[in-house]
Amino acid sequence: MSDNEPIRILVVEDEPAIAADLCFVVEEVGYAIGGTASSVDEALKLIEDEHIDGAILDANLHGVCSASVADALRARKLPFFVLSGYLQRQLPEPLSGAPFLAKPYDEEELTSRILALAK
Amino acid sequence: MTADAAWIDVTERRSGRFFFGDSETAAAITAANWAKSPLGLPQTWPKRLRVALEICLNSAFPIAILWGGEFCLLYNDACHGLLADKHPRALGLPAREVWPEIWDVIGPMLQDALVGGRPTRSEDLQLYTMRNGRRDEGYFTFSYSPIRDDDGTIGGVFCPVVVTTDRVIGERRLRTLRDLAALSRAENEGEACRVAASVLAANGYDVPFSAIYRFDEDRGEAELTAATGVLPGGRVAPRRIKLGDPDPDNGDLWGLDEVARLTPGRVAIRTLDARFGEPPCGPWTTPPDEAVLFPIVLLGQDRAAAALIAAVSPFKRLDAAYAYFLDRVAAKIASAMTDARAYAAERERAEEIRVRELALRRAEAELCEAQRLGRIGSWRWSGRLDDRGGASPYLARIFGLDPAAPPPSFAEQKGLLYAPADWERLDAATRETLRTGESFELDLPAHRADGAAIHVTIRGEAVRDERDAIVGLRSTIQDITERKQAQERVELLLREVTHRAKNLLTVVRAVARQTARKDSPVAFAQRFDQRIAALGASHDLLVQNEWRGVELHALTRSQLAHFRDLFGSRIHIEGPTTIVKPGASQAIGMALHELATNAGKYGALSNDEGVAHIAFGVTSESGESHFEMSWRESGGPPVAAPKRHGFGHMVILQMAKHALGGRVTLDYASSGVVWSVSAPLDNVIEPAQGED
Repeated sequence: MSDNEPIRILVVEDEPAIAADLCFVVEEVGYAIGGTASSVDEALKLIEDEHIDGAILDANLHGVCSASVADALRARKLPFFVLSGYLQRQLPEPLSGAPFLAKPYDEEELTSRILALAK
Repeated sequence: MTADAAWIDVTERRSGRFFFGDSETAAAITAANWAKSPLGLPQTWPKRLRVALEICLNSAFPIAILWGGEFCLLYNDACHGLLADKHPRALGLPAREVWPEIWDVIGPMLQDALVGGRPTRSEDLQLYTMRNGRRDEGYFTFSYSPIRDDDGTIGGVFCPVVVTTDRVIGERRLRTLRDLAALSRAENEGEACRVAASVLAANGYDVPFSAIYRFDEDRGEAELTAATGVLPGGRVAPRRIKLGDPDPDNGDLWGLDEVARLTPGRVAIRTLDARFGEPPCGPWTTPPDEAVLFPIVLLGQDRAAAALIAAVSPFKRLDAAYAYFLDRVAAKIASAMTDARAYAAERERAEEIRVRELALRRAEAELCEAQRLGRIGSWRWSGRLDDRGGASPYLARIFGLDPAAPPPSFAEQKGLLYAPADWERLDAATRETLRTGESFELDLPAHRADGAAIHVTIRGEAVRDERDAIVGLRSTIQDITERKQAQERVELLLREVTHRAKNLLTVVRAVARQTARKDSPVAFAQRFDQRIAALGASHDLLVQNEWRGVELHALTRSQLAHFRDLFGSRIHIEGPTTIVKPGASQAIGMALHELATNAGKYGALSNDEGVAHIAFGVTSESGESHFEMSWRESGGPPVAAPKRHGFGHMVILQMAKHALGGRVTLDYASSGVVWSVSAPLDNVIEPAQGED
């Protein structure tokens, strides 16, 4: 990854409006969208196929827990943070151990979380 | 025989009189003045009479000789007892004068022997002779044998006699006592009295009448319980007697208050005087003139419970044998009453036990019902792994076990009722309770015998013996499956609602942020308001449909509500009834809202003739079903693609694409904007609900 190549973020979120907002903020901080996924399968496929540098992961995709996506990200040592309306302790282990941003999020908080993905 | 005759001659010669021997009667005969007797002087008595008399006088057996047409009486010493006070007056008297009271019986018999020459034989013949001034019930076994006179005719009757009175009466009394002893056990004391009375009634000779009174200490009364030979309620046997009442008509004529205080073995004797009116006679021809009153004292008591009034036979002296007989009768009544009371007490105890058992059974049934109602089973268990313990019937119901079979032992429950890990938890809890005596409560998943998953709450406590040592475990098992399921549903719903609320808030914030980026504050207020309202409208539809999806016609109408006047004229909606998933409904709804807003501002709905055409449906291409939807404008002002895309554009294009996972295009054709969607059916349409 060269310095002028923007950091590519995978947005995994089933709620269209939130996904749109996340994309907006990602682009606003100067990163690129590495892809958007609204289901576990889509997310796993993008992690497999696309070049990405980090991810924003919604804990629940259409009622399906996204723990396996977290595992896949960990396996590739890709930084990510979990986004959820659930309490963090209500989440299963691979999700509860990750950096967490509670919905509804604050834009500043979201921005700092996104920036932190590059470190 | 010549020697005998010579002996008589000698005696005659020695005294100048006849000599009949040394017996008392012989002396009396010698001393008697025979001049007035029909027999005349002994010297004139026929020789055969004298011979017979010799035999009679020398016999130790009672023998009488009745001589001549008047049956003049001669007898020996052995007859004295039988004659009683008739001796010695009877000597030489005609039998009719000796026994006028029984002449109607013996007269014809004697006549028969004398005239007919036929000997008679009577056994235990009942004769009421006068003895010592009163008639006496007597029984006699005797024979009348003719004796020849010197001239060969029958001159008299030879009569050996045995008094069988004691034997006959003794047997009769013994029969009464035996019958009393043989009575079956009575139900109660009153019944015992009545049954005893029925035996006494069969022996009116010894007990012409009788009455049994039971004492009522509290009322100071005696109540007639049974009577024989006398009408209850009359003067002799009133139904109730006030103890000690001196009233000469209705008072305590018998003096029962005294009898009530008598100790066992003591009796009171009452003369049946004029106060009693005319007492009943029983089988006798005259009424009794006295009665014996016995206190009836039950075993284990010191006061009389009753009194027996036994009338004494008018034809029998109250001698020791008679008194003993009556005393035994009273004793038998006392023991029959004692038995009856013991039996009644026993029955009362049995009844008490029966009532208690019934109550116990009822309580048990109630417990069963309560357990059924509360879905609680109970189990008592020694703490040993192989012990089956004792289970309540509802326990079998909870686990779907055979209620007739013993419950599985605790060890057998592992894997059968509880998954091994859950059983281990239960095992640990029970062992802790058996060790420390502290109760436990556990919620555990369990399994019915048919494999169905259930959930139970188990509460256990230690069972202790009288020395407070822990000897086992008592537990209740409550089936909380339904409650657990309901609770889980509520928890799930709560989590879900919270999650959705937060999600929605996030959406609102995102919309606000994105709206704010482009518009001026005034425009923001309007746009934001519209967008939130559109969001709200689709949310309403979702809620109405219990979050299961939204019908697409309704969704389209709600998002285009602003233009509802144009429905059917300039806004056409075509397509089958289609339920879309919650996620898709929000994306489609927001896209429709943005399309309509743009159309109203710049497109087909901004002039007076433009038309918006909305169509949706399902197509099948090479075996795969797709959801197709399009928004097609025409007749509006010429379209120019915007130079800069805002949030609306992103919603219409990216968001829809993101949410529906298919192909979404937005074509700014100059004749009108065209938005079209083609997405895999499963992403959009809720699969058809099954029957259940």
